[in-house]
Amino acid sequence: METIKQKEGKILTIDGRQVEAKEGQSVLDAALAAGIYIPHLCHHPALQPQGGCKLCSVEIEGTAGTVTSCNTPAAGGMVVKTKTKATEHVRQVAMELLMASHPADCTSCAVYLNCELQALLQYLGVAHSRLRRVDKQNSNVAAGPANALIKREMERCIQCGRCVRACEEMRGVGALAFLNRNGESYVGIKSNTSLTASDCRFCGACVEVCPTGAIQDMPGVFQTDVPKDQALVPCKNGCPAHTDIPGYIRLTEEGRYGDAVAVIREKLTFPHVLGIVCTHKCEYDCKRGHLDDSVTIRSLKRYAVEQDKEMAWREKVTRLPATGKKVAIIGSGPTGLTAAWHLARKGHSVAVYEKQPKLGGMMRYGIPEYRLDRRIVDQEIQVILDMGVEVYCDAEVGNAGELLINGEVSPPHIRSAERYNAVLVAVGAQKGGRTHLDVAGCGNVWTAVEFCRRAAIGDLPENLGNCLTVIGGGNVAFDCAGIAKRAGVQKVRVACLESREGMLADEEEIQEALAEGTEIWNSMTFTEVEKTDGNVTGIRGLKVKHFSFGPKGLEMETEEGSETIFLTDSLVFATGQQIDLDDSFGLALGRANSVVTDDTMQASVPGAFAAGDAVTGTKAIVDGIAAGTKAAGFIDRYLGGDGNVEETYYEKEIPPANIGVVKDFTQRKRCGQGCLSDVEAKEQAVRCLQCDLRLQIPKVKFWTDPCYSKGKAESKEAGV
Amino acid sequence: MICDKTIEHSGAPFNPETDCPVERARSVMKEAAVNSCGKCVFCREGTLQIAVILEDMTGGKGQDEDRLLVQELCEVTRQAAGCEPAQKAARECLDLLQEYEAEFEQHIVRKRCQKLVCKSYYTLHAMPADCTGCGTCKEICPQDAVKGGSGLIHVIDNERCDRCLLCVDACPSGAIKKAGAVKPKCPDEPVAVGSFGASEGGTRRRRRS
Repeated sequence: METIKQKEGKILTIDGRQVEAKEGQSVLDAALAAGIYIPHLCHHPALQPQGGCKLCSVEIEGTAGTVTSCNTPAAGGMVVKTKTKATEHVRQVAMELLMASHPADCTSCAVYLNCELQALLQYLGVAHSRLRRVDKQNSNVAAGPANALIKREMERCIQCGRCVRACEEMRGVGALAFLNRNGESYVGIKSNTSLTASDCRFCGACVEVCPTGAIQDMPGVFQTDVPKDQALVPCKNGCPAHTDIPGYIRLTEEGRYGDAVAVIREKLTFPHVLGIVCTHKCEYDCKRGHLDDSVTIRSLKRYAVEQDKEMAWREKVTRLPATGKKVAIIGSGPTGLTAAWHLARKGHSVAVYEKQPKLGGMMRYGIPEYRLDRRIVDQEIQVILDMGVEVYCDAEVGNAGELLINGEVSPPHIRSAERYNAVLVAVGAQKGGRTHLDVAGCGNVWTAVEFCRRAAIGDLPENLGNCLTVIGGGNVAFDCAGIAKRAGVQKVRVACLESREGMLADEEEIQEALAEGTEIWNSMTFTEVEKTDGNVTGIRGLKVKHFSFGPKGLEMETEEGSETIFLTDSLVFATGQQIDLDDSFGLALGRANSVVTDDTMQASVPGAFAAGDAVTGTKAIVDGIAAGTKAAGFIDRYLGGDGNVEETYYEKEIPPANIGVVKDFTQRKRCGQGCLSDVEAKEQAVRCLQCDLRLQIPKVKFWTDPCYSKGKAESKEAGV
Repeated sequence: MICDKTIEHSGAPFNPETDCPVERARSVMKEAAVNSCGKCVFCREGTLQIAVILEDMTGGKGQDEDRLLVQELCEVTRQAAGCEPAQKAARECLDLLQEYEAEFEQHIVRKRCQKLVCKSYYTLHAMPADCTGCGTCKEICPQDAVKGGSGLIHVIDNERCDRCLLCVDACPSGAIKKAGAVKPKCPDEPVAVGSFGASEGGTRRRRRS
């Protein structure tokens, strides 16, 4: 033993087993690392020991009585006994004392069966207490006024002090403290204020370390049907591409724009476009949204991208050697181009077929130019083309199967008479939805898709009249309204079935439209159009009391006698987009002509894949990017690659856990979307709650953890 | 040590002649509990639990096993508490338990306090021979527990009395006395000073609770 000791440092004996302790380890650390379980409650692997709960008491030869193993440094030659009569007694009494004031009905607690205290209670076998029931008087003061994120049921608090230490040591915030009121100590919020009025930064560390149900996440803040670690960062979880949002916000705040863009680029191919027009599901899911208002994530992305002049991430992009495999991508929207980017990186030769004269899909032909500068689209497309992607514009593919090597005939209108090992159908949803109204042959009626496309290519009629009506209540309806306003139409109306509250468009877009003088008519349905000389002159509308989508489709009740004729000079139907495919395309189609795909995004013809709106129906750009990335992975695997299209452009540094105090943190207001000034960007980035930091906090292993049964078995084998 | 608090017991030193050891133990523990920083289970919950049990003992609610329970809790607290004040309080309590075991038992089993300190275990009486009917006690009583009038022997209603002892100190003739199990002969209703003989009226009662 002497030789081992000299060679390997501190060797101590715990329950008869030789255990090696690393420098700085306590007796408890050393025991737990060796798989010897010692009960502990106030100890947490990420926090300084306190030695308050006494459950980790052990006996050490040469020391009188019991000592707490969590704050006793392990020393070479120590002989430790963890299970003696004295230690059992101290633990038993300590547990009974803790339970004397803890609520007795476990089953009504939110952490029932997921509670460290309950697990320890079972481990120690403490059931009926011999002690007097003690009612603590300060629970309500300790809890403080409610907030939307952290639920404090302080009658469950056992004053282990983990939250206090986490808040102070780990985060450098110190919003929580041991306090005393009327001679009763409690763990509360400093100065007995509310968390919102304290220095609290709502990082959730206190919730994470609380061993009981005293400090919980407010139900409904985190999604419960995905893995916990994923749900804990709601913005990242909500983003279809799972962009590391807290990561790039932190880097933006630090002024490290190049690194921030590298983080974004790992997931997104059109960050600048998204920074301007993304539907930002992340912001709807943002945890801070529960507290006051979400962080302006989209604008921060835009800010970072616009600040990053070097684009250093591009140097980290790898391109694998040519595989000799060829992929055709039909459609050059976000889905198609994203897939092209990844597949080109993976060494495949990629050709993109686009039926329009230029690349970009709806980014070019859908979103109004006043909202998205086409030069930005061009720049971001160029980055993808620089990867070495062949492009065929004005090239409509009539049959996806025919592009494949195993296809039948080469279509004559395809200029490249080549065949491909795989095809990705990313054609989007190109057909505007019409209603039941009879507008066939009318010259002054458009679908939103047509209207936006013609606006994008400068092909709108000179004269749209004095009044234009858009039917529909989504974002696209407001795009059309905005185009009409800018085209000089005096009176623009948006009319939709939904009530003002039920409208599908973003509130920001609605506000913008109202500010421009656009009228909004809610709860309207239209029965007939009035026509003169092949042009619509008016629409007959009824007020809707309520509507729902039942098994027979739309069901609604209208207000009697509310029929009115509205005169209009032009009419736009922004009532959804449809997938413009039919059987001649050569792939099995499902509901609403969507391409049917399997789990690997493969369509009915082997080698033909489909992704994006053509599969899912209309979705956002960021959904398209996520789908394109996923499809690229499956296609790569199909072509013999490893299917991994992930790439690291930013070597992740562990962000500092000590976030410190920010003055008036909860009072800082969200500022509007758009182009942020340097000061605004900093101000907004600071508002981030940094939900991801919570993932760094190690989990406490319960006594039932397999590592301890393994340790037990080893002890048995060693004959002790 | 978790905390470096050093608190001396604020009261006067224990006087075995006049102080009740059970009440003394209770107040020592209560003081330790009230001053606990809250971090260590024995200092926070242990001293409080012991104080609660001792309070029951002094209040007529002690149970048979309580003396041993207090002893056990004190022993663990003395050994394992994380601060000097809690350990010291436990030591003092253990000393009292050992030295005055019989008095603790008396409190629990016979519901008696030998020193007439524990409020549940004594009653107050205006002694008929000494009371001058001056009315000072009646005036000062915050509970309105004294009956009487000018020139009448005053009578204390012990159901109402909360043993604040203001009357004892106030009485100019020192006529108000504590009584344990053996009650003095006193009139049930106020009667004229001098009219209540030692041999008449009044009852000698054993107070049971």
